[in-house]
Amino acid sequence: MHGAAGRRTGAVVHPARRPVDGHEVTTIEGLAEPGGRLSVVQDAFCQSHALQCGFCTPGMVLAVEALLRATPAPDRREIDEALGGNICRCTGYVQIREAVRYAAGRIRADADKAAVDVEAVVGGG
Amino acid sequence: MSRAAPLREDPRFVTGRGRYAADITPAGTLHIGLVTSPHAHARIEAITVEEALRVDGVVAVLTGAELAKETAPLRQYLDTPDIEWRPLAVEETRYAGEWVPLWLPPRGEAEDGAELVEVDYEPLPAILDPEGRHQTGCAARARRAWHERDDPPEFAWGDVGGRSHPLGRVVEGPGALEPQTPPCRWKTFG
Repeated sequence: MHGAAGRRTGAVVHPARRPVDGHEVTTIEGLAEPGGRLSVVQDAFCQSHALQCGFCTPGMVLAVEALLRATPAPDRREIDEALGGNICRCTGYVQIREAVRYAAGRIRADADKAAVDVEAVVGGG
Repeated sequence: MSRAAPLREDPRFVTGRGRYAADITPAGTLHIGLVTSPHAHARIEAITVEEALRVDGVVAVLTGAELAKETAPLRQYLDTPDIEWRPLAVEETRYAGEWVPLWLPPRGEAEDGAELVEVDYEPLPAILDPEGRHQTGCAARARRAWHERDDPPEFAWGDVGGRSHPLGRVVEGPGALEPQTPPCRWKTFG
């Protein structure tokens, strides 16, 4: 799952190894800043406990990134619609919705990136 | 337990650095595709495997009946002695999505090709309401499930914050919320 031109698309539909007609392709690995600071959406997922095993998380995060670029203040229906192609088997959707609302509020209030240094937390992975 | 603790794995997962059992594929690894029951309760009339076996590279198809011949039931953690818990359904399926047969296809086909294994079902009555103990005629083999007993077990919330857990046992230290999956290699000695 990755985002093409601000739109989300599936890794199966558009394998990133192939050129995507000159578009910029963002994968989950490329969302954080080079220094490791998480994007607001990535940090919102952590803060809201919107993940557990993490398997669905890359697709969820990119779906939300694309949603918030197009719809800065999504309502419940728009959130559910945006996440409709992503299935979570462990956390459930309540906290994922909370993460979307939290991220949307933060992006609107302040465009700054989250102040979480992933390298310090993960230790270089 | 009972104290908020930092979640160390989250940053890894939101940055695409999660690592899963499917990423670990030693040489010779086989992948299974599971055929799941579309019925909440049904009798398995027949399982037809010929078409699935014709797929290039398929190693085997295993049915619940075949597995049951060679293995004992799984350990049962609920007090339901009449119910044998097995990895693959035998004779009947007892919930939608229960695994019926499995097949060992080439890796790329493990998830999509399962419908090549044909299962004929005779649907049976099912309980859709968890409190539906008064609905008769269904789940005969599960008739002593705990929700149907006269003395169902009671669950109570303990004083977790005060650490007087009813079990009297506290495990401390970092741990994984989700289970681990070790890849193993079968080795025969002698």
